[in-house]
Amino acid sequence: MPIIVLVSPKGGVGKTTSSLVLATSIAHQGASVTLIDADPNRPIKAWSEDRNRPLISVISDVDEDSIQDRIDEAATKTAFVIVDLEGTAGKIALLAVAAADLVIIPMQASQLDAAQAGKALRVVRQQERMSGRRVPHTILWTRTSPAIRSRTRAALADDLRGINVPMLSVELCEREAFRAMFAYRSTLYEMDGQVSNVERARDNALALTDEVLSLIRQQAQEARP
Amino acid sequence: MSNNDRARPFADIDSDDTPAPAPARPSLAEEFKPQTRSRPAITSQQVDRLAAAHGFRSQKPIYRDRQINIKATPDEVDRIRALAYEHRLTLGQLLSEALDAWEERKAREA
Repeated sequence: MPIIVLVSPKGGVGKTTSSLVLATSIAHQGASVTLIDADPNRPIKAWSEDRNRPLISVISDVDEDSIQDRIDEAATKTAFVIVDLEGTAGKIALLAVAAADLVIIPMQASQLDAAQAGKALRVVRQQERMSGRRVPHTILWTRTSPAIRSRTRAALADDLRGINVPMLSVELCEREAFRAMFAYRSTLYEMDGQVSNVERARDNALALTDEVLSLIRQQAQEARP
Repeated sequence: MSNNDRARPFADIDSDDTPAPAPARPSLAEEFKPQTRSRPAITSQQVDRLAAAHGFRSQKPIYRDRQINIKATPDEVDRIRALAYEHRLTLGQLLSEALDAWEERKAREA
């Protein structure tokens, strides 16, 4: 019942897309997932409406008072819980992080995103110090070009390595198919000729999911006495 | 084997001995199951302190519907009103900001 929380105080970094990509790819492999849509704009709730996907549950009516209970409750019902938070510095993010088995901080290769990701990293690390519990966390590069690696991206990655911040090696590339999931209220695995290069998007999504699952397995192994 | 004996990489291609398959990983549904969780190890007071220290604001609607009477010096009253005016805050918002700042300072000192 891993609980994966996607957090960044900045909007537009790809939290919702990454959440949906992970959730639908996990469900595609046969495991049940609850997606907690803690963004007041309810993008995932809108995505899920009028569609019956037996392995994916969406919860959207959460606030600061209820989020931890909703996470705990979801963990008793589905194998995975993925929490998508609003792109603001809200107290709800700290409460979700406190319950997380893995915190993913999506980030585009820009100084602006990096500053906000830094804010998320600081609170995660401070929570670790306060609670004495390790809060596994990692950066996910989002909306990257499959072909070009920018200098800013390389410089930011060096900075992150310098302070021992883990980064997922798989990046979520900028692809039309990811946007189309919302446009057609579909999963990558349900798309059939609506967008081009959907196979590449699927490969990208499955590679990302594999890496996230490996990380979770590795952490579970390390946590064993 | 002497140096003249060349290895025969294709010697057993017709052999019936198939290598043992790698152990299969259980399906994701078998590997990860729903489970009751224990409560997180951080208290709500710690979350509040962290939120105040890093500017992670509560998104709950705030209803300022209580009143308090405070005795203050004329200077303090002037400072409060000037700050509220300058930063376009109500006196209630200013009080909340002042409390956050005070708690943050205390947390740093602790």
